[in-house]
Formats: sequence, structure tokens, C-alpha cells
Amino acid sequence: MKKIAGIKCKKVSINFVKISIFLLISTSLFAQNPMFPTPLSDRIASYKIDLNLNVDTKIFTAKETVIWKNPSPDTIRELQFHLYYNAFKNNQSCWLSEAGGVPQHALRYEKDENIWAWTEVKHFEDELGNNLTENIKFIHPDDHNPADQTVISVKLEKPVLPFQTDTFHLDFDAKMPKAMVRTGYSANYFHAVQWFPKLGVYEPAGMRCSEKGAWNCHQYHRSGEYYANFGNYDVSISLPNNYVVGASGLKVSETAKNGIKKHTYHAEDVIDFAWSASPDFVEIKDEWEGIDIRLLIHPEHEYLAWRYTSSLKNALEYFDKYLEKYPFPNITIVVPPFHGVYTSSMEYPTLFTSPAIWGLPDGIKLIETITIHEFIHQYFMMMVASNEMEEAWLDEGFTTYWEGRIMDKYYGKKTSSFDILGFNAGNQESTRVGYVHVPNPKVAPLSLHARNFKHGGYRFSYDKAGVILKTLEGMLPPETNNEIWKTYFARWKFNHPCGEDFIAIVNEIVTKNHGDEFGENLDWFFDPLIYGTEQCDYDVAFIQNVKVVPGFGIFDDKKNPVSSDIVNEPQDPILYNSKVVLYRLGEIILPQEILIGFEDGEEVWEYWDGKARSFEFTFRKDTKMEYVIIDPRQKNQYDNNFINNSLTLKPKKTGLQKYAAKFMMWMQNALVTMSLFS
Amino acid sequence: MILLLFGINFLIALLATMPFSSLLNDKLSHSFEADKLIKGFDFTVFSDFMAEYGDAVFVILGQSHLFLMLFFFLSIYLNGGILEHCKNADRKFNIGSFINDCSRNFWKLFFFSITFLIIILAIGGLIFKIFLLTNENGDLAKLPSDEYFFKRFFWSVALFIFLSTIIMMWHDYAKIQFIQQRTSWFRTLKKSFLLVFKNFRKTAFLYLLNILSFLLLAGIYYWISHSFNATTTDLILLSLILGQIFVFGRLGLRVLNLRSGVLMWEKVVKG
Repeated sequence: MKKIAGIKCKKVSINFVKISIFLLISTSLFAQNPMFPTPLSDRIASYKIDLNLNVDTKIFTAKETVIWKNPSPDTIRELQFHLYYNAFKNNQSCWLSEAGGVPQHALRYEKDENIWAWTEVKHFEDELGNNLTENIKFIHPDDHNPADQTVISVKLEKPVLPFQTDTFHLDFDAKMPKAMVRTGYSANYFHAVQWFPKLGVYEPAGMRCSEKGAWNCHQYHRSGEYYANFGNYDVSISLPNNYVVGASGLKVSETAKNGIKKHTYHAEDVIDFAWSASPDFVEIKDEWEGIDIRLLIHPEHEYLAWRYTSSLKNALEYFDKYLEKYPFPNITIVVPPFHGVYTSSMEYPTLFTSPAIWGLPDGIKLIETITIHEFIHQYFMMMVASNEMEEAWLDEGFTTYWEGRIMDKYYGKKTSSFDILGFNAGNQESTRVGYVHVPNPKVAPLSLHARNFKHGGYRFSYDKAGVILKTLEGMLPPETNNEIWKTYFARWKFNHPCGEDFIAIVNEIVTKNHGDEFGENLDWFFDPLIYGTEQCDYDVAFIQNVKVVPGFGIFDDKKNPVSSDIVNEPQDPILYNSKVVLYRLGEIILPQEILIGFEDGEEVWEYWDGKARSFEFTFRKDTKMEYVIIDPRQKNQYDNNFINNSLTLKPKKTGLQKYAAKFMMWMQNALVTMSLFS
Repeated sequence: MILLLFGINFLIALLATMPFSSLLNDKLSHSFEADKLIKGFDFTVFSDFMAEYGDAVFVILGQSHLFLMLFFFLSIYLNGGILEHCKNADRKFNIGSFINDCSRNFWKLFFFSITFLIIILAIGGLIFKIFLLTNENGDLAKLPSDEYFFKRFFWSVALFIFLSTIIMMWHDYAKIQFIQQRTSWFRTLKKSFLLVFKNFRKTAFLYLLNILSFLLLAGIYYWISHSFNATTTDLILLSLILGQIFVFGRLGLRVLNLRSGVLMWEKVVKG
């Protein structure tokens, strides 16, 4: 055997041994205490990561093993990874340049600390031991910004064949950023999210509305979040032993040596892995129906703990009733210290962050709102894993909608957002106001890719989508609406739907339950609201009551016309022709319930399809029409002005008198207070 | 005199309220949304109203600021007459003399008001600066916690309120000193400062009594006004009347404060 061949043989045999040992270990690891006897997902991308964090330099070194299953009939010759930390490497990155620069709250530390972040893949090899490090190159699939290094392509020596599973090993170093956006350190608090080289998603033709097989691996943008495959994670985190650690999944072991503690976690059927550490965390444990709740919070906020756990339990209970019981055995809430607040209010599998401010009054429901919102993300999109970058409304909008339902139920329809010093607002009504009263509600359609939202449009993914779904709820009977959501979740959990998949389920259930009552399908509802920018505004234009007068003039007898004096003769009964004219001022067409009230107390319910620009209802009665209300139950949350939805001929002054009197009082007291300085 | 003050206060507030009331009636009275305001604040009605007619509301609020400034100047103006009347308490109140006294003393009292406003602002600025310097310039990452920061902040605010109250007390005695002896600007400040701080126990106690009287009045008003919800025209009227009594009481306490200050001055200076 030639020397080269001999080396090759030796290399293959060494690699064979390595592979065998690895498979043995990984199999035994994954087989050890499996969370789910039957996998919940297809487990396309699984990770084993061992990292060591230097708490002084904020750098961690890590070894990563990726087991990736090619889900397609395509032969894959390259892998694409996210290196999200490189978004904070310098101010030329996609993220920071789209944000208009480095956030001031991080930049002001630049002279004293190394605020920047980076990820460097030092070594990359496949399961055969082929060194692929030199094959790594940065790519820019979205904006061709050469300074952006958040996506790499790795050309493979050995392609991954259709439906085959291959394993890759990486060594990487990463520097954590000063807490600026979702991740980073602040003092001795560390919060690591999107911290490891993470595979993009290879979407075969037909997956999530894709027409051909391709990598879906976007650069990291200012607007928009993440997208990844499901898999298992085994992560070991080594840091000084005085640190308390919280992470996705379950802790399987903890070992200490030479002042360093190694925390090992295992998570199954998840799309991400996040972890947090601080020596100051206080751990509070609770449970709900067998699900362990772990709250990591700093001592100064400990008195607020009950607000996190109670709101989480409310959400758990609500979803158990209306969707499905949360399937994982545990959930961790991380409450950053106030100086780490920029890492709060985000969601990761079985872990999320929620903010705390010392002294926050009970009447300001920030804690409950964010806790419930981030928990709902466990469903949309930790389990129903839509693409947050391309269809942000599918998770943010869905979460906002469910947040409104849960908050209003448990904290009051008019008080679930805040209730303090006589001022109050509900969650759902805040969501509506958050959309319909933006300066430019037409700035973008909801269907836009998140990175293309400009000038506040990204916020639509939350509020506009939440309002649309609430309007859908108002339009449909509750049983049908709930069945839609239950079906959508059951069908798409641990999978990757697109918006059309959700709409298809709506059409399916509505047609099944109601035939063509709502039309052939509900595309007439979704098309303008999701893909358009038009607004909705219905208006009661005017009410008219005209007394019916007897006829006068010439009838049968030409010689004896009936005198107009007949009008003055007493009529019995007196009849009125009453008319109300309704306008559609906006472009959106939605069917409306109309309530018409008469002076004698009678009320009539009518239905208008909402299509015509103007429409009228007429009556002939012995009583006058007094008032008309379009959509009295305010089911159409998309209407941007409820004030013109009703008209009454008898002015409603009491409420206005009250506020005029209040204004007068405020003014008088303000004047007296001013005089104190005179 | 208190009636005069109250009348001016009422009139100015009415002038500010009328456009607001007209706007509400014009835009909202024929909508059922107005009914939702009976129970109390309604965020949806408020937001929809502001979205449609917010520009008009802001114009009215802008005008209200002018009215606040107007009343500020009027108060300074009227203080002169009030203090002259307190000086010559035996003299029967005469509107002509009162107006003369107001006019005669206006500019001097105005300058005193500006002086003391500057002093209060300077103290506020100094306290705030010291607060920042002793709290890492607000860098929470270098402080033990936000609790630590906020508690220190609240103490700083409390200190500011305490010192401002003492400055306002000094201001009152400065006005009294000037009216009583017509001393120059500097001598007025000096003499009133010495009067206040050499007799701090007495002056502070009197001022505290006035503050407590106000707090008692405010407490009673709050308790009564919150014991019912003004949901009918009659109850709204009752609420308004209670409010007027409260304002009248506040103005009365203000005049009483000045009068008691004059008596204190006379006791200390004249013996």
C-alpha cells in the first residue's frame, strides 16, 4: 500500500472509530431519560454544545456537534449557518445600520468596555474528518452588504444525500455583546440567545409554500426574528460555580471542579436554545398541573414574583382549555436585573424573559402582559414554528390576539392594560388603538417581509394582525372560531406553516360549519387585510323622520282638488317615514349588524353587507326613529373610528357634562397651584 | 377678597373650559360613545376622539397654558393688595384702594417671584446634579439595583420638596417684609431670610399648620367626592359644587397663610 493510501486508510479507520464512539455516546445520551417516548417533531437539526464562559472577557469557547437530516429529495452541497452575534460586531452590520446606529444605551460604555460581539468558527469538519474550515465564506442573501457577517455558507466535500443524516463538528469562539438587543451581558448578568452557529432551514419544494428546494437563511435584520428546524439539544455550560444558570430544556447534571461548575441541559423537539446566568439570581419554584415553573429573579424584584407565576398559570390554564395543554415538563422565566432590561421580553423554547421595575404598581399590568405574551410564543412559534422573518404576523399577531383574550379574561376588559389614578385601558382595546391610530396605518401591508418594514410598519405584525384576528373572532360564532384555532394548532404544531396554511384552515372550518354563509371562502376577508393597506370606517350619516301627510291636490275629481289644509287635520295614527343613511368611508368591506331604535322604545336589528358606499334603511311607523348604531357589540375592531358608528337625535350630554366639569376642576386647581409660586 | 380671588379663578377656568365643552358637545353628543364616559374614563372613546379631533384639543390646551400664566401674573398682582389690606387690617376693604395697592406693588412682587423661582430651580438643579454624581450618573449597571436607585431618587425628590417649601415660606415673608417696610430688594431678602431662620421653629410650625390644613381639606374633599359616582346631571352638579368649595377653601387657606405670616412678622419684628 502506498504511503498516501496507507495514510488514507489509517485516516478512514480512525474516523470510523471516532464516528462509532460518537454514535454510541450520542445514542446513549439521547436515549438516556428521553423527554418524549415518541418524538414530537421531525428533529431535523440537533445540537450538542459544550461551552466555557470566561466571565471577565465575556468570551466563550465551544465545541458544537450538529446532526442534520436532509429533509428533501435534493442533494445538498453546502450548509448555511446563522452567526447572529456578528450583527453586533461593528456598526456596518445589517442590523446596526438598519437600526440607525449602535444603541446609545450600549454605545456609552464603549470607552470602558468591549461592547461588541462576534462569533468565529475556528474549525469545521464533517463526520469523515474532512476539514471544511477553508470552505467557510460569508454570504449576503438579502442585501449584499459585504460588511455583514451574520450568514455563512460552508461548501461540503461530501454532499448530504436526499433524506440522509450527517454530522458536523465545529469549534467556535464567541464574544457576548453588552446587552443591547435581546442578548448580552450587563455587569455580572449574562443572557445568551442566538449565541451559537445555527443552521438555516433547508426548505424542500412544497414546504411552507416554497416552490423549489432552497436554503432559507436570512441575514440578521433590525426588524424580524428567527426561523429554525426542530431538533434535540444537549448543552453544557461551564462557568464559575457561584453562578445560577437557567436554560431551555431540563437540567440533567451539574458537576463542579476547580471553582467551575458545568451545567448540562437536555431539550427535545425545540427550535432553539437559550441560557442565562447570574450569581444574584434568586430561584423560585412553583408548579401547575405537573409542569414545573422556575422563576429566576434578582432579590430587589423578588416581591414581584407572584405576578409572574400567577399570570403564567393563568395562561397555562387558558391554553389548556382552548388549545392544548403545554406539552413540555417545565418552563423557566428569567427576569433580568433592570440594567439588563434590554434582554427582557423575548421568547425561547421552555424559557422566556420578562422585565421588572422596582416599585411598579399593581395597576400597571406590564409584568402580566409580557409574561403572558412571551408564554404564548411557546405555542406560536416555539411549537407552531412559522418563519418570523418572512411572516412576522403569524407569531406576533397570533400572540397579540391570544394575549388580548387571556389578559381581558383574567384582568378585566377595561383594566387589563393599566388601571391607575382613575385612568384605565384593556389589553385588546390598547391593541386596537395601537394600530388604528398610528400616524400612517397604510405604511405597509402585513404580508411584507419583516426586514422590509419601514417607519414603524413592523409594529403592524403585532397590533394590526391582533386586530384582524379579533375582528375575525367577532364575525364568526365562538365555537367556529375556537375550532379554527384548535385545528390549526393540532395540525401545525412542531411544524412550519405559512400564512396560507392558516387561511386554508379558516376556510375549511368555516365552510364545514356554515356552508356558504360567509361566501365561498374567506379570502374576501383576508386578502385586503393581510395583503393590502386599506382602512375601515363605517359612519351613520344622518337620520330623517318625515311625517306622512295625506294626499292633496287633484285625484279623481278634477273639479274638486283636495285642499292642502287636510295636512293640518289631526291624523290618527300619525305615521312617519323614517330613513337612516349609512356610509362606508373606508375601503375595507365588512358585514355589519345595525341596531335601530325608535322613540317608543322599539329596537330593530338589521344586517348590512357593508359593500355599498351608501346604504339606507327605511321604515314607516307611528313613531320616529331616534338612534342607529352600526356594530353595537363592536365586533369589528378594525373600524378606525367608533364615534361615527352611532347617531342619536337626542344628544347624550351626561358623560360630556361630567368631563367638562372635570376639566373645569382641573383647570381651577391648576390655577391655584400656579399661584403658590406667586 | 377671597371672593374676588375665587371669582377670577372661576372666570378664567370657565373661559378655558368653554371651548373644550363646546368641542365635546359638537363632536360627541350625538354618538353613543358619549354614554361610555358616564361611568368614568374610557380609553377607546378617548383615543378615537383624540385621533379625530386631537388638533383642536391641543389648541385648547395651548390656550389653557396662557390662562395659567395669566392667573400667575394676576396672583402676583393681587398679592400686593391682599398684603396691604393685611397690613392695615382695621381699614375697611375698599375695591379702589385695593386695586391701587395691587398696581403699586406689582413689579416689585413680580421680581421677588422671579427671584424665588430661580432659587427653587437652582436648588432643584443642584440636588439633581448631586444625585447623579453620587449615583454613577444613573448607570444602573454600576449600582446595586434599580431599587437602590429609585429609593435614592425618591429621597432626593423629598429633599427638594422640603427645601422648596422652606424657600416658598421665605418668599412669603419677603413679600410681607417688603409691603411692611418698603425695603430694597436685597435688604428685603436678607431681612426676611433672617426672620425665617432666626425664628425657624415658629415660622416653620405656622407654615406646617397651613400645609396640614390644606391636606385636611384635600382629604375631606377626596373622601366626599369619591363616595359617589357622578352618573347623573344632579350628581355631576353636586360634584362641581363640591369642587368649587374645595377651590374656595384652597384660596381661603392661601389668604389665611399670608395673613398669619403678617401676624407672625408683626409679633417678631414689632414685638
